[in-house]
Amino acid sequence: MTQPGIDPYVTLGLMRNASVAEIKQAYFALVRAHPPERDPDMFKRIRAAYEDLRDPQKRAETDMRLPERWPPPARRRRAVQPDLSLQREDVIAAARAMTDLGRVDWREHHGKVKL
Amino acid sequence: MPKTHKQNHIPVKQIGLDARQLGLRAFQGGRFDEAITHWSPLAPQDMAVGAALAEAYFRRALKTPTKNAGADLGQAVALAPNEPRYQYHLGMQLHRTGALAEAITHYQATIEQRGPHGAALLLALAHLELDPQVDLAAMVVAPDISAALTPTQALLRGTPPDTSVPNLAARVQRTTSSNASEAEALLRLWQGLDQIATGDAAAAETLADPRSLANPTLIAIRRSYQGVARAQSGDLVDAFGLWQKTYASGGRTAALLDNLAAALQVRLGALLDTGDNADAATLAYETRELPINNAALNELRIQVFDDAAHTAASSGDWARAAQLWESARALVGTANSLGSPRPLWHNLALAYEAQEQWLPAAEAWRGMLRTAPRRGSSDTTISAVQWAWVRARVIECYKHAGRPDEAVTVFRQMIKVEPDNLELRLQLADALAANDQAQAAANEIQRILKIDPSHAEAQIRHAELLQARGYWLDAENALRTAVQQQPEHENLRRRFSRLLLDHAERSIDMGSGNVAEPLLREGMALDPENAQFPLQLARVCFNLRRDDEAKKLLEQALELAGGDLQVHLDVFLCWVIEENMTEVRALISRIEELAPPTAFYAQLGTLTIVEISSPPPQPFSLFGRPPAKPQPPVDNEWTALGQELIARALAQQPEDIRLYILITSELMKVRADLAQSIIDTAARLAPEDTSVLITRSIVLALNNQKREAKEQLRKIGILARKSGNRALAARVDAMRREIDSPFFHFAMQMGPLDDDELDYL
Repeated sequence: MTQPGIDPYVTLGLMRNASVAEIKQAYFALVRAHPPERDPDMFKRIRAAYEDLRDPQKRAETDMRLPERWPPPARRRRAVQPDLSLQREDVIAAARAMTDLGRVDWREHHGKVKL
Repeated sequence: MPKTHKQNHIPVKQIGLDARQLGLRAFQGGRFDEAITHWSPLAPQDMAVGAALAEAYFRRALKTPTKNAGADLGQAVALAPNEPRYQYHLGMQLHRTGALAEAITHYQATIEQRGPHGAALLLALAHLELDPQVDLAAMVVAPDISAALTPTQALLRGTPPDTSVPNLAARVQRTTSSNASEAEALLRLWQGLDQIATGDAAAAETLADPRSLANPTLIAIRRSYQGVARAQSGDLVDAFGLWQKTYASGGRTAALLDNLAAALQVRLGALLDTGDNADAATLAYETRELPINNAALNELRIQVFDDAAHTAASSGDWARAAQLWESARALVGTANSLGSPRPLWHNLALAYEAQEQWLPAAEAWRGMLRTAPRRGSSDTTISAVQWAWVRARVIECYKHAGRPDEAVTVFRQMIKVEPDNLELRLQLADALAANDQAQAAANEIQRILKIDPSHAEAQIRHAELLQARGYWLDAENALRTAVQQQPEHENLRRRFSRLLLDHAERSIDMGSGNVAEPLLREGMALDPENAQFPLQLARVCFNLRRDDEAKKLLEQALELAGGDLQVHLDVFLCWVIEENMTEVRALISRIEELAPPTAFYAQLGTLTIVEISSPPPQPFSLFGRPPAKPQPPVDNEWTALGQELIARALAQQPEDIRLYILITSELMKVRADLAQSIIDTAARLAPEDTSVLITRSIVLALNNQKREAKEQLRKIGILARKSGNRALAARVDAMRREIDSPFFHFAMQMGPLDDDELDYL
């Protein structure tokens, strides 16, 4: 089996939805390019990738062991536009900030109670 | 129930106090709820208590200025309508909530009752908020207040500021009780805001005023609009920084989050366009806490997180990948319109598994299961087989996490929803078995077989449970019947042949070749492509001295094996045991054609020496007959062959230190003398490799060179201390102390030690 983190589709240069015929074709082409006697490590990787994908049942499991790509959105949403105008709320907030409205310490307003 | 002392306890200080006094005590302790409770019944008859109750409501409103504060202040005003403090605070509370007309009434009452001075400014401001066209000068408002509010009024009206007001700074200073610098800075802020409103480029400079303002809200507004001014001049990078700073300091202006979203989107887009995906991911991660609910931006952020997570995962950094996918998942969770979180749960589960964080992995697989389409849905992105695989991962991960009981709970919950789903029941049985509930698992399997007697997987599990309990014949009979009923079922056939093979191997090991032979022949008929059947049958034939038949079977096994090196190794071992050098040499030639990896020759070599040098098994004796004296090692053609194969492997990879250690670890079990030269060579190649040096010290000890072994361990201890590896230093010290123990000799010959064993030593 391919080692964790190694994508057999990448090793074989295939898309995730490659057909069985495409898998076979890619495998044989790569084996011809990297024969075991000349490039044993590469051959081992190619072979492992092929083993992961050749059998549909094994391929289903292999697919589950690979991270999925987040699907790109079906349609691009409109970009957010900055609002660069002066906001009435901010003018009022600034004016209120000059008053007692934002104050929290009112100890001087505490009254005395005598009974 | 007998009463306890505690139940009868009354605080000594309260004994004899009436409600009036109890209320006072509570009030003085700041327990205004309690004071209100005590005083409320007395207030209608007692004016002093009524006044005290009003103060209690007032103080509670100040203490907890929530939405109930308005009601409390209303009570205070109702109880003491002539108290201007209550009028003033009720006015402010109404003002804050936008009830401007009511606020005006209470500010007026405050002024009439000669209450706090701030009421005049607030009264004017409330009028202004209600109607920016109001003529403040015509109202009975102090001229300073009217003047101080002219910039606000101009901005609200959208008219140019009145520059004819004399001594404006001084009047603002008096009205707002600020110092001269703060008053000047405030006027400059109003000027900057006016420039923003008119799109004047000078706003950036006006608002970059370093002077302090009297209030954090004013500072936040100035900084935020400084960002707006930068953005107006096209500098979104600086604008983004200023807005971020505003947000981080707790400032909240009206368009702040929208502007942050817009600038962030532009920044991320620019980084992605220039291929700076890592920087984009860093920016997205740093700003992940911003509560921006914008679908376009969140889509982009998810994309950035996902891309970066894939990059991290492909370089093996699963911790970073998990962090990024977790951030993406958190964003997806904020809105349905962003799509299903399924791929992110999936990736997260893989990332946690890769880090062996089994509990979060199990939770992530469960998260993925929650996204599974309902039965009958047309969504086939993930097949039914794959969903079953996910469920199996839930069990596996909980098992690894030491919580198989959780898996049982999960499957029981699922079955409640889908009681007829036999696949779920099957996985519940697996979860029960993993939780050591063998009988419950068996019962669940029986339940499935009752519903569907031909359920192949249930039949397989049934047989496996029987096998686990040692009922081999019953297990075989169950699967034999199942295979007869469904001869085309591939998995049934495979599992049955596997069962037969396991039973046969066990019988061979126990010396019962006669039991194994029919099992192997039945298995061979069932699975004729499996090389293990002729291989194991050959072992039986050798034991029964049917050598010709054995040879044919081994040949058959090799033909079936193709390039399978394990089968070649097993056949090789058979011929070594038979001490047939001709066949062994012939097999090596065939193996060469398969171009095996270098380590394979080392494996063949060590296996040959270990097999030939191992003493024959001692007959068991009840009377504790002393073991035979170990024979001195003998070199013969087989040890020569083993050494030849090892030399071949090392010649191909003369600098592979791991290979030297691997060979030494095997050889030292039976021939420490042969292992010595191998590990000596490794030590020359890697004189500071602690694994090599530890292995060498063990071999030296096994060869009775204990002084050298101790010296070697001492040097490792020095190396370990130098590199700060105190754990290793402690371990080798312990080994050095134990080297004279007979147990050490025995344990080392059992094979290479793992960390736990070394710790134990």
